[in-house]
This record gives sequence, structure tokens and C-alpha cells, in this order.
Amino acid sequence: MLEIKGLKKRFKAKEVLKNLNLSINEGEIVCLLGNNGAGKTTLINCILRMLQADAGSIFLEGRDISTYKNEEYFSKVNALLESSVNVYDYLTGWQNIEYFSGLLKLDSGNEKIKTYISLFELEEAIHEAVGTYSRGMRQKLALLIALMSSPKLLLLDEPTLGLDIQSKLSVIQILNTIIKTEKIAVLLTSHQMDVVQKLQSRILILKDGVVHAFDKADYEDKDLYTVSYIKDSVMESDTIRGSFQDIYQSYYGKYEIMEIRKKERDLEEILLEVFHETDEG
Amino acid sequence: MKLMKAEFKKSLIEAASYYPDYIVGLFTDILLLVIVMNTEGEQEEKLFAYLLWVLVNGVLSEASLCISTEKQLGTLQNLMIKPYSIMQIISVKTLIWFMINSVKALVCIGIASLFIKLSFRFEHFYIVILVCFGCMGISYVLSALTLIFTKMASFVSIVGYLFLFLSGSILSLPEYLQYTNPLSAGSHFYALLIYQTAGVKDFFILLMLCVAYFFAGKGIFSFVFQRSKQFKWTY
Repeated sequence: MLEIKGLKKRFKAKEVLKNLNLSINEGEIVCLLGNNGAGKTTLINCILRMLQADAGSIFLEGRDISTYKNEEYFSKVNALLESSVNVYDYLTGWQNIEYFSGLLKLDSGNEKIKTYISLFELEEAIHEAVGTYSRGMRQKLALLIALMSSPKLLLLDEPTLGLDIQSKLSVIQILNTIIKTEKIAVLLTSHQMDVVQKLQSRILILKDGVVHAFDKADYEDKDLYTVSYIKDSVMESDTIRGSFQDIYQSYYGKYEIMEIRKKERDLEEILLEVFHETDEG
Repeated sequence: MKLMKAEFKKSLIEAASYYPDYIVGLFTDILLLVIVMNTEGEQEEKLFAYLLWVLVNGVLSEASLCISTEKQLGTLQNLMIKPYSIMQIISVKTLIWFMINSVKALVCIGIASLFIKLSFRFEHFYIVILVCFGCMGISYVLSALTLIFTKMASFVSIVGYLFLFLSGSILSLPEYLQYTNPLSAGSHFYALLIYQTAGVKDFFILLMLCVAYFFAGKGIFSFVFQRSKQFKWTY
């Protein structure tokens, strides 16, 4: 769906993207992680043709994006940008939908939009001015507008930033559902590890202008277990390194074993290690 | 057509939300018209020059004000990733505000005619359209500058008042300025029409001047917009 080959971008002395390669398949969510200033927004701006790369190519459906006409390209690609305000406060939710439908060459009365309004739980507030909406509702409306054109590629820059837990979970659930059913390729950036963990996504790390593949399993300590057991009628637990069999045998007979579970490391903890590794590299 | 409909509806909502601004604008226009009509010179010529300026002023400022406002609201980036190009969007916005301003100008003339004697030949309205088309080129240049320097929009009103003088409605325009811009050329052509001395050649010069201004402005906007993609956007 989206393929980026050897992308380079420099701002004066700083080379932000250095020979960046990346590909995203249809219906796949790719979470791009990186520190502030790593080049995530630069990459998104290059994909959105708002910035011209110094070298390299970006292909959408096998075709260089520079060969697309504006109309054709942006009927396939849409984005929700953190740096941009995506809805107008003085318009109602419905007037925003109508306005952006016009800009996206859509019919605002189509069934899909009605379904999305219901899915995003915006029915009650849809005829109220967006200025009265909570941040969660505004973000849902902006996401609805980004999705209503059925893009092939959706770029989401910090889509859950500033949302409360309930709104965040709701947005994640909607994203997981719609993206899979509509087979949209998604490139998402976020600093919120809970969001990244809950999205059914592939994780990539952008560091020093290059994308690194990331698999959480590579960083798991395979021999680290948490043993829960009862000692003198009190529940206790230990974290122990070793094989499952050895741990089992060392506790069996002495205590009543309740559970032996592989200790999973927190994604945030692993990523800190990853960023540290690449720093040293 | 969908863009036109969408922008038209949004503009009407905007106008309804900020109606006091339009009422103040209307009174300012009437006041200026009364002042203009009390200066020396041919009344009909001055009325036309003034009307032309009111509408050209809207065309000149709308596109760059739109870019500046969207930049300040933070919505410009979002508009730039739509199937319509930013140039199409600002052109349609300008066209819509030209229509709204035309209605406002008619209301202004209507109210002013209750107090002063006014005469206007509506069959020559095509000159207004042609001049506004040419001035759209200047508007594109101002918009391109606003893309780079947001504060540029603040100076657009100065350009607007400079054009009030170039329209010839307040002061008689020196001959050497008559063909320097579409507004002066339009006012001059109307004056030739009312004195029945206008020829096909005069119309052709006006047409060519407007076309040249439009395409030069469009070209500059495209160049600046394309060039700015090599740098970091600041909106």
C-alpha cells in the first residue's frame, strides 16, 4: 500500500531523515515511535506532500506520490494532525461534517456518515456548536471526518493526546474495528504506550533518521518468572530467573503453588532500553 | 460545485455569526461613498470607480485574510490535505465573498441613493467582473506572501486603501497610471464609455491587462507554494 525508499530530508545542518525505508500494508496499523524531534512529523509531512524530500521516493499503491494529482492523491490519503485544528468551533458537528464532505467531494447524507455518527456516539451533540464539545468529542468528530472519505491510507499524529481514559479507549476500539473492516493502512505516531499496546499494530522506532523494526518478544526475558504461593497461610510472590521446571521443583512440596507466570516487561520499560541502545549505537 | 456549495454555506454561517462586523462595514462604505460623491468630478464616473474599489478591495483581501485566519485558527494544514488545492479553495472563497460584497454594495448604493442622487449603468457590470478577475492575480501574490509571513494580512488593508486612490474615485488619476493595474484601467475604460469615446482597442487593452495580472499572480503563487515545500512550514 505505502512504500518509502531511501527517504532523506535535511533542514540546514540537521539531517532529520537519513535513508529511511518503510512499508505499510492494507489494513495494517503501524505505530511509529520516536523521541521529540526524531522526524516523525517531517515524515508525515513528506507523505502528505507538504514537504519535499531531498532524496528517495514514496509510493502509494505502487505509484510515486509525486505523479498523483492533488484530487486523486487526497481522495486516497487523509490525516489527523496533532499540529492542526481539524474542526471549526463556530460550526456545529453536523455543519463541520457537511463542510468537509464538500471539500472531500462526498455526499454528507450518505449512510456511512450516519453509521459513524452513531458509532462515535455523537448523535446527541451533532447539532451543537463544536466550541461546546469536550476534547474527546472534538477528537472523535475529527476522526470521523478523516474516516468518512474511506481513505486507503490514514496518517494519525497523536490521535489520543489529551483524551481521558474513557475517550481514549473508545477511540482505540473504533480504530481497531474500522481499520480492519475497511482495510485502511494506518501510520500512527504516539507517545502513549498504553495506546500503542492496545492497538493491534506493528511497532517501528524512528531514531537518528532511520526506522528500526521492533518486536517486543525480542526484548522479553524468557527465563524470568513470577511465582505466587502460600506460605504460612499468607499469599506471597517471588520473581525468579530459571527454567519453568527448576522453579516448579524448587517450590513444589515446600509451599502451595498458586501460579507460575512468565514475567512480562512493560512496553515503556523496553522502549527506554531500545532508545538507550540506539543512542549507544 | 460541491466545494462552492460547502464554502457558500460556511460563509453564510460566518456572516451570520459575525453580523455586527458587516453592519459596521456597510455603514463605513456608505460614509465613504457620501465623501467620494462630494468631491469634485463627474458623479457617475466616481460612483463607478468607488463601487469598483469596494468590490476589488474584497477580492484583494479575502484570499490572504483567509490564509491568515486559517493559519491562526490552526486549520490551514488540514485544508491543504484535501482533494481541492489551496488555490482552488481560496479562489472559491474569494468568488463567494465577491458575490456577498456585491449584494452589500447594492444595499450601500440603495441606502445612499435615498440621500444623494446616484446614477449607475448596470449593463457595464462586466467591467467589474473583468477588473476583479485581474485583481485576483494581485490577491494571489498577497496570499503567497501571507503563506510565508502571516503578518502580511495586516498590511493588505493598506494595499486596499492605496487602490482607493488608484481607482480615481477620490482624486483624478494621472494619465501615466491609467494602465498600470486592472482597477485604474477599469475606471478609465468606464469613463471612456460614458463619454462615448471607448473603442474595441481600449477594451482589448483592459482585457489583456487583466488576463496578464491574473496569470502572473497565479504563477507567482504556485512558485512560492512549491518553493516553500522545501522548508519547514510554520503553521
